Amino acid sequence: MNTVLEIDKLSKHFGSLIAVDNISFSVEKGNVYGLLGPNGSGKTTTLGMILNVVNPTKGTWRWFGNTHNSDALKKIGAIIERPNFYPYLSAKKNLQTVATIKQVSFSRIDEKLETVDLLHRKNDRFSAFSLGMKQRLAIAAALLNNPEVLILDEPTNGLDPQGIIKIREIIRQIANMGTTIILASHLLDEVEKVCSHVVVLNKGKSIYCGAVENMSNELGYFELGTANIDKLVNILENMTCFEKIVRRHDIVSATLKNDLDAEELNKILVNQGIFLNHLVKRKNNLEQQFLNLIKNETDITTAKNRME
Amino acid sequence: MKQILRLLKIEWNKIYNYKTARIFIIIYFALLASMGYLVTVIKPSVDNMSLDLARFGAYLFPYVWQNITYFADFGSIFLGVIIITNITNEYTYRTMKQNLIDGLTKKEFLLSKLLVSLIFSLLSTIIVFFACLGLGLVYTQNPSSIFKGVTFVLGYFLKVSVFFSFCTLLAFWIRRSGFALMLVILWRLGEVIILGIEQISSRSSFHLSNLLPGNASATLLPFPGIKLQNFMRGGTVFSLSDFHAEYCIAAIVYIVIFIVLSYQLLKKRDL
Repeated sequence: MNTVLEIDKLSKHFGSLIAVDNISFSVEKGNVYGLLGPNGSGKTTTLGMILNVVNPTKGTWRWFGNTHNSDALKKIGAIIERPNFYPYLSAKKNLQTVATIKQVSFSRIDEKLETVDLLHRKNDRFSAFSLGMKQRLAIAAALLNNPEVLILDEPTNGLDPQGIIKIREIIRQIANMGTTIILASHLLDEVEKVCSHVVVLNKGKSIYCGAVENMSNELGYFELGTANIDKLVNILENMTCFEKIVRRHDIVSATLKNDLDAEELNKILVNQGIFLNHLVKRKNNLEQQFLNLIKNETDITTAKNRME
Repeated sequence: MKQILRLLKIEWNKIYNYKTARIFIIIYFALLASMGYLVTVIKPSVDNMSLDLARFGAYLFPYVWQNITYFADFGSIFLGVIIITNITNEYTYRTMKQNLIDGLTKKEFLLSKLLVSLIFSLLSTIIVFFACLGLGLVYTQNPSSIFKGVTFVLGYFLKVSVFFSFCTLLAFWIRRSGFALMLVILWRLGEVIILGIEQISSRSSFHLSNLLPGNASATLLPFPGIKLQNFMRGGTVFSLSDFHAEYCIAAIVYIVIFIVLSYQLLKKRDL
């Protein structure tokens, strides 16, 4: 059984507001999941429910194949929104409290503080920490039980660039050890850098769940550069496999209609006397794919509404 | 048992390392423990005459049981404040949410807070018991029936426990220490006023508002009876009040109600 988490038709209503609407998806072992969605799309509420702090209105979920209970939570490490610790306790004492709750030995505390580079500050009070250090301490706390699943909700929110890079490094390190990670973020760039899978939420509904590369079926586009741009554009326009050719300064970007290898294209162009100084084949980045997905979803809903 | 120790370990870490709480607790228990000595030294002066309560027989068996427990009860407000802040802090720091995410159940969370209250009230009761016993033994010439009136120690324990569980409920409900504390005080005043109105308007010796939580537990620990006639005849000023065992049941029922309501609040609310 490699399914770590199964969410089945989960809903949460706050009065008349539907924060989470009938969400179902599952999380497989060893993958890094990005939980995507604009602000207010229900990410934190969903996480709150599967972590037992928000009562669901409807629906169920199963951790490790069993219905939820607090014992499952002891195999999970989670940080929601912002680091929550006792401000008057030192880093070490705070982690001792967490260790007692999770029923793990105190001997791991130093090791985890080392992982997040806080060992030298272990006797300082939490209230004296910078936001980046607080966030790192939260990660240390989440790692204390060597969790099978790590849940991070906006872990780089409010951090400076160095802090962001540091957290990202730590996440990557943890992912490399084979830990399943669920990373909620509205920073797509962040998710793109570390995630293999995504779950996309919009207005409380899950609109996609799967591998990042399958998120859209488009073939991608080429970025090309050469000395004689006009001739290049001319040749490309006469080829059948492009649907859109756009020229920007000295770079031409050509969107594919039928698949074509970069090597193949290069060969064709050389035969026509064009020598490239720039050749890249890429896919739309996550941000564009995400926006397309949300746009499609909105279009479908509008169309449905019109039909009704 | 192992679970209880685990919960206590968590609470110890939270409370003992909180400087204000630690200082308050130490002062409270130090005062309570030295009370047996302090009451004999402090002699309030009335009309330039020092009032030595010992001369009025305040520390004689069996009156000492009622007098000292009644007096000691005032200290419980200190611990009430600590119990309230210990809970409301968990909301302010949002650590309760984190505790639950880390794998503590809501039941365990409530239990850990209740255990602290229980330890506070047990420890206070034990200290008060020995203070009364010590004073009585020192001042009573020929102690014949030492344990007559010892039921007031049970009354003290129950009264303090009702108060602590009430504080717990209000802390969970209001989530702000200042307002919770204010409500504790207002509630008590309200009960006293209601009882006063009932006493004025009804001649019966039974008052319905005596069944309210504060009044019911106050009935367990009544103000020491003073009978000047006795003193004139060469006896002691004090007289032993009746111990109302039936109000013990009321106290226990209230403790259960407050705990159940706290749990319901905790269970129903999203964090």
